[in-house]
Amino acid sequence: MTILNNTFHNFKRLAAPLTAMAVIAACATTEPNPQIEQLEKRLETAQSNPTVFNASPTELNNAKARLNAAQSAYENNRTEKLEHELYMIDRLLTIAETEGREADVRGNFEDLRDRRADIRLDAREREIDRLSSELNEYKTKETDHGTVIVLQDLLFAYNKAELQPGSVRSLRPLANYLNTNSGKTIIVEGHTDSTGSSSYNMQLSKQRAEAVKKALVSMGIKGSRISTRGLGEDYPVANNGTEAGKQQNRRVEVTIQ
Amino acid sequence: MRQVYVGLLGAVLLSACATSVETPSAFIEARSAIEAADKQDVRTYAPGLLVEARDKLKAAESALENREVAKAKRLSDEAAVSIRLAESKAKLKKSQEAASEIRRSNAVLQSEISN
Repeated sequence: MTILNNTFHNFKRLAAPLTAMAVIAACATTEPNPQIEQLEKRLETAQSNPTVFNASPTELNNAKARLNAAQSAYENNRTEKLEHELYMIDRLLTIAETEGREADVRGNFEDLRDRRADIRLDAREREIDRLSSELNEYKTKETDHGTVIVLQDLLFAYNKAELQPGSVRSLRPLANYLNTNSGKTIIVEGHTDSTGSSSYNMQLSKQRAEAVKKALVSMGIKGSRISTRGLGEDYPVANNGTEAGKQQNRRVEVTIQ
Repeated sequence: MRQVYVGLLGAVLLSACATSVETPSAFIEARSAIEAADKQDVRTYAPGLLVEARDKLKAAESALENREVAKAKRLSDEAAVSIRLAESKAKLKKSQEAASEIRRSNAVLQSEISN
């Protein structure tokens, strides 16, 4: 500028029109400020990104206005003002860029949260399938009253109504099923073979049904969901004349309702 | 009589000098923005910007004491924009942490189900 101004003074003596031309030339040849140019590019990028633009329209408008102020400060050699505007624009653009990234991350978070709900739903469905298949481990029969599970291999001590530990374990899938399907109730019915008196067998079958209930309660099932009955020797499913038949008749049936 | 006038004039000028310049609203706004933002999140996630904003505000205060109002206003605006950026950065960091946390726990949940 100084050199051009000197030139300007020399020309002044010669002719006014030449002076005017020199001034125009001086303005036209002002070198663009690389910092301003860089910030202009950043503003353009930010404005063309919908996420960034929507996150901080105010900051971007402010930055745009300040770019004009910076250009004018630069042209008028107002260094302090220029420095200030450059600082402000850089900060405003960084805010907009940060807010844009934050909006992306938040969107990502929401997707992940939806995904989590899907995983949970999937898990629940699988669990139900698994438990239903657990009931398949039992011998079952469908009746008018619902699904009946026949617990044939329950081991009671001879002449006693206490379940042996291995048999308690075999009730675990049923307990799992009842835990998952909290609306279901069951009827536990005890049956015996024909050995012994009828009244004794009636009492024994009731006690064995109670033993099954006790085991299920110990696995967390509410007693109010379980009713028990002793049916004695009156409902055989096999011939009491053979040992194998007797074993089949000594059973507990669980009706799920 | 003329001397009295001169004396009075001097007194008026002195009293004008003694009153401080009016505090620009930009300074007050920047100060309350920093106070509001000076919380755990910003301290944890953007401590550098918090310090910078405080320094700018301090410089604005000195400028005011030197009656450099334009400079004080510029520094106040710089303080305000810095604290605003600090809040944005803190918000981004928190969101990023929340997203990685849920990503991690989804992976755990997924592997628990697969087993």
